[in-house]
Amino acid sequence: MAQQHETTLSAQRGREGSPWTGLWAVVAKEMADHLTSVRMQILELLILITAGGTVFGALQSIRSARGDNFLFLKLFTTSTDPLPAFVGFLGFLIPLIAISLAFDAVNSEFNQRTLSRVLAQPIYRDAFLMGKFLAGLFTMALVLVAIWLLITGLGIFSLGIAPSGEEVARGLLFLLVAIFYGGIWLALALLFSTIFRQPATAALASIAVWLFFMVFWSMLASMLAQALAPIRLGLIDEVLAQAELIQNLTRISPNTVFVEATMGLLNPTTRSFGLVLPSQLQGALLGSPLPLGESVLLIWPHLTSLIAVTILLFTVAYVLFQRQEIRA
Amino acid sequence: MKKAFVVLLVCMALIGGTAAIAAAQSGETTTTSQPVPLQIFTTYPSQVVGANETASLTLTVRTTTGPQIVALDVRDLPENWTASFRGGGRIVKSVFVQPEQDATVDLRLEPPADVASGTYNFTVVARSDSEEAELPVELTIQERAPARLAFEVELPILRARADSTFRYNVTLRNAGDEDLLVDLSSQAAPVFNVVFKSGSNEVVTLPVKANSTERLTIEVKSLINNIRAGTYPITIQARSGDVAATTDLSAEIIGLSVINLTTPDERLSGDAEAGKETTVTLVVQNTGTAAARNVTLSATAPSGWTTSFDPAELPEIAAGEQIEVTAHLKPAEKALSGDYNVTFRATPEEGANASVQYRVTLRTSTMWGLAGLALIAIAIGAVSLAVSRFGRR
Repeated sequence: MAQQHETTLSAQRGREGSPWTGLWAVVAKEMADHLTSVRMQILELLILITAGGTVFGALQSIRSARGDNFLFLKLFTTSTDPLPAFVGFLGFLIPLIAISLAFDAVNSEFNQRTLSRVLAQPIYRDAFLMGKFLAGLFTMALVLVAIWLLITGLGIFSLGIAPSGEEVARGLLFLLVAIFYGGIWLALALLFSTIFRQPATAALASIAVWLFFMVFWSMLASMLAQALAPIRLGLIDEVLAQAELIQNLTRISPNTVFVEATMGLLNPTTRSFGLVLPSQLQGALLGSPLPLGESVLLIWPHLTSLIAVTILLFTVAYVLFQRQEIRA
Repeated sequence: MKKAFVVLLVCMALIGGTAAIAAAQSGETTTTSQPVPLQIFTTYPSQVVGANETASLTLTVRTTTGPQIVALDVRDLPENWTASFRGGGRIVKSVFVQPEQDATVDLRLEPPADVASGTYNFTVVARSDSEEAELPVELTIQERAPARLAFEVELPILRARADSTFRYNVTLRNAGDEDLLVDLSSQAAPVFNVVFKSGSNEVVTLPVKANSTERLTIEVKSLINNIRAGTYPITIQARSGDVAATTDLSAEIIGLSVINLTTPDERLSGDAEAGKETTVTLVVQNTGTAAARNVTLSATAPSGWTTSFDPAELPEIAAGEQIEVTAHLKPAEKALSGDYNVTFRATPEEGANASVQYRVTLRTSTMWGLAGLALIAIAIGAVSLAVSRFGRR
């Protein structure tokens, strides 16, 4: 058995053509499917409504307090009383879109018996899965960019000023963070769609993971921290160690990472996340915005980990898909 | 009752007695004075006058005999003197006089310009057809005190800071017998503004009465504040014609060191990296008028930051000089990125210190950025490994 495996391996090394042949055909077809699907349209409508509502509220409060820097970033982050800020909505709308785009990516092809047909074409499996993934990512990027442009345009229209270069740069970086935040959930849903043959199972599994990180992880993190770094004597060091552990544990959740990265980018006065000692703030000019480079440096771990986790999840999905028996 | 009547009687007797005595006396004066046919007299026959002054005497001519014309003349008039009688606004030679009606005439005596002091005697002669009367007049020409001006200064040397006003209280005395109109002037270094004040008014010319004094305040103020320390003489002069008085005042200006702290290009912000030493070049200026001694440099930085200066102490900064100092600033390892205020301070041994707020934009190390990139590289490596390992099935 092992020897047979070895021989197939050596045969694989000499494969003909690029594994990306036909990738763009798959991407184009998938995107066409996504953008015309009712599922996607419902989600787009949902995003539009939340964007309209939150940005309208934000505009009201921004107009009453003019003379501030980074007004265009405030459009995304200002919350008016009943409504959370738009980025808050995005925090759970993006996973929803991502999961809905990918939870049936592979298994529905199985179930409809179209996978063999597709792979009968001169397309490698690599290109098939990569195309599915990229199509989802591009669709999400398209939606997010459209929303971003819409909000910025609305801002220009109602505030009467153009966004500054730094605001645009921060907005684009925020888009990148949002896309790869979606990328994680997209890769996860893709993974589940390769694992589970039933789309419903895949969808439920993805949503379960999402809910786990969204709702339960923060509770679990504090419980874990209490167990791992208990406060026995009530010393400052113990309290600090526990708080730091809680923060590091919650950062396992992509939600926390996304929220922190958003804060760092859209709120330029953010200097640090989590616990800040008063001694660190001594002499600091609070409220002065960080230079863009520093803000990027601050959220750099967040952005890179989002990208890396997206790629790794995709890799896992890829490996599992490659090892699957698909001639059904 | 009886007693009261007696008092009344005594009173009446007294009143009557005094009335009688008064009547007796008046009768006596009228009877004893012998009538003089022609009289000429003046109330003040002996007068003292100054040189160049015209003496004027009012003469009264009286007669008892009958209406007559009286010719007037001055006898024994010294050489170059002029005497004239005036009446009714004109020069007259004679007066008409009647009994019981006195005639008055003014005698004006003008001494020559170069009259010597001393006593001069004249005789005024009044002559009618029948009578003649004489009136000796004595004029003493007094020597005039020459005009003389003098200053008296209460405190001629004042000591104060360069930005204060020096006020000298001066008394100007006119020791002569002549009223003078005095021109006031001063001589001082061009940076000084010298103002003469009488009361609250600025004066340039001042009338000083003969033998009196006028109080003056002389206000001296430097037009620039960073005038060098030292003693500055001020000469003030009062002049009226050939008469002049001068006095010397002096203003001692105390030097003051004024320390100013800035950077060579006056930019008060800069970058620093957490945990790494940055140098900030500071300029310590002495914009004052005296040397600043032992200027120590210090800084107030956020906790965990270390600051040092090279040199940490400046032994002396001469007035108007500046010295560059290098500040070594090392932010804390765990400092958060962002803007911080660091206050640099230069404290001289005496005098006010100078401080400047320097805004430090703290940057954090980009090492973690590389670590993030490495993470992505590992992920991509994993993908390509998977592709090469599991590709084409």
